[in-house]
Amino acid sequence: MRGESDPPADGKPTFRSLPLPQREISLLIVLCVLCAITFGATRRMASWSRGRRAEAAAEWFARGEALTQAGQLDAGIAALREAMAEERQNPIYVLGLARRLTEAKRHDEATQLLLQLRRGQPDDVEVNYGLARLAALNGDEAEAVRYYNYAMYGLVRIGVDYNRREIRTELINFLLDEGAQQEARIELEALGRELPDEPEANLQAAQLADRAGDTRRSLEFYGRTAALDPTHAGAAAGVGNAAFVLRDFTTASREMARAISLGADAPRLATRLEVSQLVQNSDPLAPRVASAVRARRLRAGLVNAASGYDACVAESDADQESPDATQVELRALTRGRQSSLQDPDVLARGVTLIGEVTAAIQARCPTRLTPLDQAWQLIAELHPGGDR
Amino acid sequence: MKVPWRQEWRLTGGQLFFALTVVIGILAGLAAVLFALTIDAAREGFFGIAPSPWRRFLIPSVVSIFTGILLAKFFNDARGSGVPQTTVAYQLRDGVISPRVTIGKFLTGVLCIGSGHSMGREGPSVQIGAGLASWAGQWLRLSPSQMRNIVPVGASAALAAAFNTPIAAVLFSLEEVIGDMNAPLLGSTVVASVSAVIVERSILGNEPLFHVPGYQMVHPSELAAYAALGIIGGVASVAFCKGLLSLRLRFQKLPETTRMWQPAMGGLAIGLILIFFPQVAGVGYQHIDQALNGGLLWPTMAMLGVVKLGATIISYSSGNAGGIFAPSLYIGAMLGGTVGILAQYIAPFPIAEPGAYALVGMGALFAGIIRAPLTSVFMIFEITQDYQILVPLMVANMLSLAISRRYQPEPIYRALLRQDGIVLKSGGTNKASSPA
Repeated sequence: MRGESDPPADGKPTFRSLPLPQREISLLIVLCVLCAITFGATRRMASWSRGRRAEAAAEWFARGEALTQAGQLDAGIAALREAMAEERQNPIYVLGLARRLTEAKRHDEATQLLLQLRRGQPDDVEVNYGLARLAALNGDEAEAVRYYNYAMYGLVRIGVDYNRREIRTELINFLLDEGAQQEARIELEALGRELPDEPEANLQAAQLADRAGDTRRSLEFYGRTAALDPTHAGAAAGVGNAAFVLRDFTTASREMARAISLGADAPRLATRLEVSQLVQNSDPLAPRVASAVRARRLRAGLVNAASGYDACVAESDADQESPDATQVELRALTRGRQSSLQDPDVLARGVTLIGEVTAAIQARCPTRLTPLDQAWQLIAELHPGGDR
Repeated sequence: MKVPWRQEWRLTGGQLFFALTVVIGILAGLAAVLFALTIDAAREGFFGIAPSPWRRFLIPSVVSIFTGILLAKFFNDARGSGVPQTTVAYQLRDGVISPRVTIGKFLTGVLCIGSGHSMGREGPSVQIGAGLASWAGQWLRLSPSQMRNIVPVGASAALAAAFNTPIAAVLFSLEEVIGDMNAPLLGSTVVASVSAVIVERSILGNEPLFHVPGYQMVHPSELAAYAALGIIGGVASVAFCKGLLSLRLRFQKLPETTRMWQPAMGGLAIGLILIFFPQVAGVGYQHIDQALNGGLLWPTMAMLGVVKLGATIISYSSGNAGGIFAPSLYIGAMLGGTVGILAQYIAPFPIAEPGAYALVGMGALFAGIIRAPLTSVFMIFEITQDYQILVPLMVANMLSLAISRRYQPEPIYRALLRQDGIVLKSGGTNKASSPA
């Protein structure tokens, strides 16, 4: 240190004339007070600055959204970048920018942004959902499924409208687009457990199940829809169609008839209804049917098959062909006595023969296949090898 | 025998210096934070949200007229970065910095950087921190050796707060201000830097300056790409240094009567540049952040890197107040990002994200221009809080440094001082060689 201070010139004590030890401590105290005052002022200014930045960010964001909505996507993105620069950690701005970048097909930039945000908020639903959509757009199935799953089971920020079912629905659609039927069916099973008691949600799930080729689940979802809204024609039609595919012709007939009565307008539905009813009324191997009725049904089927075949041959100008063994057997059965047609083995053989002949008609004259022919095809399918 | 209370309360020289170190750390840290906040406020006041091209042209042009008058009439020593002036104060002037210089640096720095000049706030922060330390030392009547030693303490504290990088700030003081890595001042600079960073974080939070993904080298062959970046960084560093020194010399050769208007000439040129490239205005951290996160296309980055290089040369050479730390990081990030994207197109091996190259580019340019290689490595670590990319960073830094040394033997700060007629020797032994 420089040593003791000089004595005061006029005899009065001044600050500079204080003895050095006291002066050093006093000055340090003054510096500390100065630090405290500056700290308070700086803190206040930082708080004001943060507020201003937040305001600026909000203004940039509004400007960016307005520009993008006006079709100026690039200018909008630039404004949204400014918003994000002002408040880097605000997920609303980052997500907004990522959304617009996605719209501008700048997927890599959007992905980078969201990944950056995800580092701080790995469980955020919106961030993972955004990443999942980007991965889906890029056709990256593994990444998309991973992020969709994170999104479905992530943490939801306050104020965010979160719907796990919608995310799962999107995932199923993506899997179906990618041809991953099996994975889609697994997700459909999970979706079934999440469905609320709302007809539209169940109907949507049923349509997804249709796309996934999962007819049993489709029948279940259409059934739930129909139960929740008995007047829903689409649901009744869906149940009818699914039941038809599953060869439950009783349900199919009932539900398709109900759908038509409710106003469902589909020519295919009417055809299917007719076929279903014909199956029910023509099947000689159906349970709880008298033997005589079985024989009568078989004979009618045999006659129909023979005449259909003849007409087809005539139409295709192939009359020079000699009848094959199937034709010979079919015609022999047609001429058989009523009592012989009641024999279970004859019934089974007859159904098989009709099936084969109808298949031949379909192959040679597909336009000639009548609803009755279709019904007989289905009857033959129902009883393969004459199974009773 | 009873000891008189005056003697009992008396602080020893070491105790006083330690207490002062802590206080200066806090004060310099606060000054650095206040400086940054005031620049932000000035920028917003001058430009507002989405300024028109006319406003972008007029603000630097008009404000620089006012700044030029202030610099010429009142604060002549406040021109430029502040780092060379701090080194001179430490090595030649017994640590004495006039309070007028400190106040002038704060004021003109805010005006220059806030009005869009392409300059950084870290160099001025160093001078402001050192100036506050010197002022406190003068007030407390420290001994000449303590007066000298208190200057790098204030400088490191201010830099630590400005960049949120305590280790790099200590290393910078040792490498650049003191010029001796074995200096006994290590403890004091560490204490002051830590104090400053604590203050800075308590006000601004513990956010890193840039948010960077966890980049790492994806393939050993990638070192070739990083080496290429180091070479490009070295060439860019040489171009920057030579361009800056050359243009500054031209300004110095202009008649003395023009000195007051030289900052305005620079402001006019910057105004013209800002009409077309508003991204190069001021410190530009947000654009560095974008480059680090893959948010810019390579033609944009290449263009911004080149324009920023030119704009910084103009701003600095024309005598405005502001530093070259942030511009060197900016240019490095842009060039690095460009190299990263181009490498993805041409390299036959896997390549990391362009952001990784932007990060390494920042270090390469900093090492090449500032010539503080250790500071450069640690600064990148601390700024990004990412230690994954150590080897590429060191490779690029060393190559850039080697090229810069080969073609621009004298470091930029020494060369700037030489232009001002001050010759420093390395190793902190300048006391005897100070000019008359």
